[in-house]
Amino acid sequence: MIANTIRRLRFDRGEMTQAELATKVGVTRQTINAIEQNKYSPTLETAFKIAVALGVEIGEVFKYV
Amino acid sequence: MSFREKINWISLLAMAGVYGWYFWTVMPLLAAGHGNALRVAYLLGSTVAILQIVPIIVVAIGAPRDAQAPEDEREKLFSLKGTRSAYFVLVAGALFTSTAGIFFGASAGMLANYILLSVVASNIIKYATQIAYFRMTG
Repeated sequence: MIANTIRRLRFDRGEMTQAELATKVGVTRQTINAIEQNKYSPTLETAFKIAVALGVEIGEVFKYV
Repeated sequence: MSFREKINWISLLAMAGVYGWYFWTVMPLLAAGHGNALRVAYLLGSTVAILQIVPIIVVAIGAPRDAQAPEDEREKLFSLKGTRSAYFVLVAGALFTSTAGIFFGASAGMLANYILLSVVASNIIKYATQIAYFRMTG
């Protein structure tokens, strides 16, 4: 399973909303929500885009557990 | 609920409602020789189009940014999964229709209706599959 720290990273960045992150990544808010809740695994490209949007390395956002 | 999930719901309800009524109520009467079945079926096709287009326009006006945004990867994936499910239904419908024509001597009108039923059923399965995935990951 792929776990993620998107919720915490959003919180660390001044409560960035899911909609704001979605706009930066180029997906819908619902997709960010699904990823955050581990209900959908993003493609590698989107995973990198999320990491870039949050200003961290991809390994800091996603972990295989 | 995302814009595309709403579109799927509208399409599913419009198609299931109109063609459900057609195949359940109208087609048996038409098959018995009352009126032209196919003419009615195609008229209902136009009705479905209107029942889909008008609500979609209303939803799009309510969320113009979502309406203009292209499908994202998750929506594309669900669309592909829906198309895959619909394919099996369409193949089953094609086999059923050819069997009815070759072995049971079904009339041209009934064969056309079986084809229409296959197309409608496959579309309903496509919409339902997408909605199920949207719900499971929502």
